[in-house]
Amino acid sequence: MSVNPSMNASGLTSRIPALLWTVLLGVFLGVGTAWWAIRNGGAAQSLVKVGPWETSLLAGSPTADPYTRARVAVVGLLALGRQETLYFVARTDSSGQALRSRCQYRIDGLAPPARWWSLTAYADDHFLFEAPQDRFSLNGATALLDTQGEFHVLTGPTKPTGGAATGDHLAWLPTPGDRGLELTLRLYHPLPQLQREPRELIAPTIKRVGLC
Amino acid sequence: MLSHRVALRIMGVVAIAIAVHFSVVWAVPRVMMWKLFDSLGQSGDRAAGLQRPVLPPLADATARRVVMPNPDLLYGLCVLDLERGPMIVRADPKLSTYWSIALYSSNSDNFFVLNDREAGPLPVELRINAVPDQSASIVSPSKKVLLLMRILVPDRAQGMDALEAARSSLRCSTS
Repeated sequence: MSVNPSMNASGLTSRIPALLWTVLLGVFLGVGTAWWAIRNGGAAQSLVKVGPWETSLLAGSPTADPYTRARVAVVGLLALGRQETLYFVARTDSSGQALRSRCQYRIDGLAPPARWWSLTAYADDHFLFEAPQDRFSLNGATALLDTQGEFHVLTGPTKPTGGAATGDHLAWLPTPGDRGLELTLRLYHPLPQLQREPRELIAPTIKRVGLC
Repeated sequence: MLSHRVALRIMGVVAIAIAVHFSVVWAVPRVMMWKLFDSLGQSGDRAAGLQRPVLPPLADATARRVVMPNPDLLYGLCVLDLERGPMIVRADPKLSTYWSIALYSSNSDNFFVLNDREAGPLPVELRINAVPDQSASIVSPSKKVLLLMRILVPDRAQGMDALEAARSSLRCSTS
């Protein structure tokens, strides 16, 4: 039996697009699901939520699962383990609404039980805002605590000038522009009980002030 | 009913998607570290035995090398290349406030950290090797390591001289 060479070649040619589509679709699905898993669900087992704040129990740890390791590499590369530092990140206010830099938020909380702590505002690309006067963070040395041991912070694009949004102990963290906002609460050398059980943090509240 | 050919294509798509999915998850931290190693470069001449640490200014909006830079810390960084043997890290911060030296492997794991309380008042000397040897105080899981020194800056408005001196005490060398 003889084979027609021209028929053979055309059959192969017609299969190439199908093979190409199979590979492209597989790559697209693989990259898409991997990126979704890294950004959202894949590391959920190692995440602890406390109010609007969440922390990873395995950030920086050699025992981290691949999804946690990848997620930390994207949103917090070079993190320390929780024996050294706990990182609590908030992307929503206490009512669950996504944080926006153009809005004003009031953050009230007890000074966390750690050797040293700080609260820093980041844009949604995980980098610092162009904040006037280098007002990037409030920390254990710069925070003014009230008689209850609480700190009070107002975030927003403009410095508060009067009304309920001002007060002797109220600090301002500038968040210029209109984009997503992330707040990071760092606890260096947290007390041992909190290291073991980060969900026992008395979480600062984040409340939107007025309209935005 | 699906034809044999369509069923084969669906199985092919699923198999490729699974392989790519796990490859991406595995590769992301390694690529991020590779980019960081690359951006820090080989500052200093390893052949001459000394690797000059990278000492960036206090973080602000222009600091875009690593996500979530802490504006309350002074950083010092060294890329430790253990391909040709151990490296020695020395520091003498002489500070009563928080500082630490952390080591990160090429997959981004923080496999070692030493802080001021653990180190005490004496100068620090760490010998790091990628293979176990009698004199190595730390065995690295990878041949390329990022060293990150953190020094707490309690108030950016205050003097920085003592903190800068502490950071400048960092040395990364082959002997």
